[in-house]
Amino acid sequence: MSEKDCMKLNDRIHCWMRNTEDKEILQTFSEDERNILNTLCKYKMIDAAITRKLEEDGKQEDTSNIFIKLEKESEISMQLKEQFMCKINMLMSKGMVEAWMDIMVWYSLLKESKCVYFWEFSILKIVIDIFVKEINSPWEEEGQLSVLSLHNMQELTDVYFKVVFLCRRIEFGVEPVDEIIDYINRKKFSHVFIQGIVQAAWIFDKKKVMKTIEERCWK
Amino acid sequence: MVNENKVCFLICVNDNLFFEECVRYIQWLEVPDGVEVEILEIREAASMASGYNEGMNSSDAKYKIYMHQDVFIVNRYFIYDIISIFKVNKDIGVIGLVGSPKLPLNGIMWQGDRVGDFPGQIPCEEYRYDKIRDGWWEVEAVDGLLMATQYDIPWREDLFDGWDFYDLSYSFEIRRKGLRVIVPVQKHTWFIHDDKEVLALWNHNKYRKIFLDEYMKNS
Repeated sequence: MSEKDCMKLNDRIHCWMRNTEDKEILQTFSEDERNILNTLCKYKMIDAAITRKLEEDGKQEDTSNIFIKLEKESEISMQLKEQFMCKINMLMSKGMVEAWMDIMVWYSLLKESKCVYFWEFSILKIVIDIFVKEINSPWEEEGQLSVLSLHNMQELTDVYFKVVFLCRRIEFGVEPVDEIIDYINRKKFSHVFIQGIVQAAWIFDKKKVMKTIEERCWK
Repeated sequence: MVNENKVCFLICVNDNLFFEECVRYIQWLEVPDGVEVEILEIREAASMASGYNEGMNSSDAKYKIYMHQDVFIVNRYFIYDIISIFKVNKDIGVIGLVGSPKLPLNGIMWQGDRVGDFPGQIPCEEYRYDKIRDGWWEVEAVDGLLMATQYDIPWREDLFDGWDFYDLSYSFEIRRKGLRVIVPVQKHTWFIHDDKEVLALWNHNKYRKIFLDEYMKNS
């Protein structure tokens, strides 16, 4: 898919957001996409109803609202999550830049809808940011983008935590650095990819970690 | 028969990647001479409280560390420090790493002041906790990310049959027994908690109400 095509998906979603009842626009989406959009509508309706009820009860300023909402929205949230995950897994499985452009669009929709309650999506955001840096990096060519080697959300989160754990072991001297060097070399992860994770993760001494890895990788 | 020279780490497990990393840090800790360390993994627990009760009853260790699989202890002298506090303070029932000096009336810990939870203090090799010099905070309740005990007091699995509020409940049960709940002053952080952002708090409100009914009615 070209950049123009990507804009089309973006445009279609914006069109739909302006009028969610517009059947003509809905028909431009695939069935799985329509399911996501329909669930999103339902989610918004439920959320608005709960907010109204809390306001009527005079509880709009209560911090415990978030938990009351979570309790009532759990079912629809889980449904939405499942549909989003399926869509993103399908796109990731293509291993193509164009598919990641679509992932960015779908993620934006999720974020704008303020229903990003799931930790997987926080990590997806980190990897999307890395993807943007990778495609803008003069050293990375399309076929070598590290992000494209991730084929589903499970793999994405596993790799993210694996890298964080290995980097942290370097920071605390928990074990020799060989394992992470082997891992990065074997997976052919780029400097941008590793740096993006180190920056995002709870690693105190980022400079030390990156310096240690740089001394042995990407030579 | 209680083994006075034994420390048991009890961990409810549903994620091998995190559990293995958690264990790696436990195995990295310095162990005082004559002290035995046991790691007890609890799988397929029906609830946190029932899992911990099962673990508590199956270990003869005097000192038990109930902790989450996503917590990594980076104070290398953690075992020394915990034992040294307990040995000279028989009235301390629980040591936590994050706590609430005064739990808000709505039972939401992170709405009020908290101690021990201040990321950014880089652990350094020279750092050693000194209970006289550094001291500790007296708290009403501690976060379940890590709770160390020296007496076996049952967890309220009758009330908390999920994954929320078992920690605050335990803190209150300990205080009902006339014991103290504390958090050591950590001049350098003792732990890293890789909790997956926006936790599964769907049932938080349900257990919050149970907690308030049981412990906060007269507050």
